[in-house]
Amino acid sequence: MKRTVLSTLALLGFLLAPLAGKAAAGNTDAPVVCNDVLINGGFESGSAGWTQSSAGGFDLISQYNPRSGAWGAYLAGYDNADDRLRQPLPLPAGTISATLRLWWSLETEEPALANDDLTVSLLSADGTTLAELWMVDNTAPAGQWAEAVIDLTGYAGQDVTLQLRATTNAYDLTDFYMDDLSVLVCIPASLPQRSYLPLVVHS
Amino acid sequence: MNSKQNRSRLPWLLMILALLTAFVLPASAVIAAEETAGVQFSGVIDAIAPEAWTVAGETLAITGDTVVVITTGNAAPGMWAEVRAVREDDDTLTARRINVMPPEMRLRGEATFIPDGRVGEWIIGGQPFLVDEDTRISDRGGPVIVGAWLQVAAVEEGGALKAVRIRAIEPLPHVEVMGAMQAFGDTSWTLSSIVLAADEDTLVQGEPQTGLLAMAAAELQPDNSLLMLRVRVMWQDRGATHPPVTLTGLIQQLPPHGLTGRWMVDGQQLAVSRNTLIDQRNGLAVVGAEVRVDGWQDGDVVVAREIIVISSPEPGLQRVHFTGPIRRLPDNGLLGLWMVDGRQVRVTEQTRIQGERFVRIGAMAQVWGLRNEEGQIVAATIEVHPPRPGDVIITPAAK
Repeated sequence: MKRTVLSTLALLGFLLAPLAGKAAAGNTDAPVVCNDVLINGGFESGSAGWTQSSAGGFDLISQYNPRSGAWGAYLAGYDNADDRLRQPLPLPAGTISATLRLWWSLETEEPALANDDLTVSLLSADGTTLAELWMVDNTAPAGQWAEAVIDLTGYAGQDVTLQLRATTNAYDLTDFYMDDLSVLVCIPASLPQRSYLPLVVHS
Repeated sequence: MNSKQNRSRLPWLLMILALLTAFVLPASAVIAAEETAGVQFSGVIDAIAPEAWTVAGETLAITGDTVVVITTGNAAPGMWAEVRAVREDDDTLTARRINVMPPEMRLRGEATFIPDGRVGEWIIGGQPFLVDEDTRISDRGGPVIVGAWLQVAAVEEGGALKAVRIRAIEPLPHVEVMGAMQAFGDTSWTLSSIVLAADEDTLVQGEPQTGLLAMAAAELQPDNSLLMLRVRVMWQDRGATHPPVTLTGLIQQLPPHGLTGRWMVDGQQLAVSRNTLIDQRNGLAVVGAEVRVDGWQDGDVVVAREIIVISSPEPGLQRVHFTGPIRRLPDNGLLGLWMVDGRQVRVTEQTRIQGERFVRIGAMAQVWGLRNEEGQIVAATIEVHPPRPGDVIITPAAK
């Protein structure tokens, strides 16, 4: 009987461990500082912070279809596109949470098949893909902005670069738009601070 | 395994069963309930109050569980909303999710007039659009010039359509309009101030209702008016009389001649009319081809609004698209060899001909086709333009 009770408790513990961990992190007494570490996530300062490359030679930071403000990212929109925006991300060791938020939208002429896509990935220091975090293709609903929220906490302490990449095939255009990106990194206040202004301080 | 071991595992099984009952099954039950009572629609926001919104004339109860997403701009009457709701036992609707969007209509059509300096009234798909210094124009998909196909996003302002964004797109066989329904009837609809004529052949999916959004495909007429071929009202109600259907399967049977008539796809009978879009960019619609069908259920038959070929035993080696004057036609009927823009084009039972009544020597035609292994161009779709001022038309009799 004792063994049965222990087994049941172990199972409950296994199932509820993630919830318990989250609760513990949220209730910590240590002060936490959260910063948006992404530079120019709304693209209002032009290309500041971003490195861009476009197979078609287009400027990917554009006034064509921003979600807010006057500027946004406009990737693809032509055949055989391979457009990329990159920015190094400071994710220090000891990060409690790191969350990428972005708004995206698309317009497409593609029929039913998924031929064109937009991916968000992390690159390692040597430029290879460390992780593909999120992807959307031309079969997603068009003409409407939607928000994606991506957890980057698992990559804390690594030297990573954020990459936004759109590729299209040889036929039928798809536009990918992105705007209002942020990467909120929360670290214990005891960790050395970078020079960002804190947006939120929890205690 | 002895009985003692069985008894020791029983609590484990009971525990797992209890957890499944507590967490998994209710979620499934909720999903099932929402599937049977679910309503999805898009329309114009009429009113906003803390406990209820009105969208396209429908009152939506707002609860603590309702998720409202302002995709851009503000939530206000006049904006558009995409709604997911549940129909309650008393027939009222409770909103689960509301996405608020700007009221931007869209039209895809050929530009036939662009004023010098680009500011002023443009004609796209036969319809006037005001372009000012604030209109954003992208040449990324190709040059934005007269004769190019354009996509315009516009808002209604002072009774006119003010272009917000314009960009070049690849040509389509018909004009496409997405907008808010302001009027509808047997002979005419109005979507965001664009008037579309309707006739007995117009395919109408969904029950029209003022304030709902709708997407239409239309044929441009010689007088710049639009004849609506098909329209989809953006309202999906699982309890509706003619529920929407999307199916994917292999073509098992086609009509004896042409593509209009009864099809059989994976054991399901389809009604295919001359206004059904048949997209053959990925291959020809032949027996054995895999297709995706969108339409609605009418008794035992699915009325097909759109059929898209996904893969085909006749995929072609290369897609071909060009525009030019028709220089030669078969002696009897339309099937056989055409000469368009100096190129020989084979027109078969699978070819969809838009604007068939305009077919004649000298008429401008757009051809979408596939080049086969013999190097021959097999036409999937031919759109024949109505005559325009200045066109030299030679009638077959005068040939």
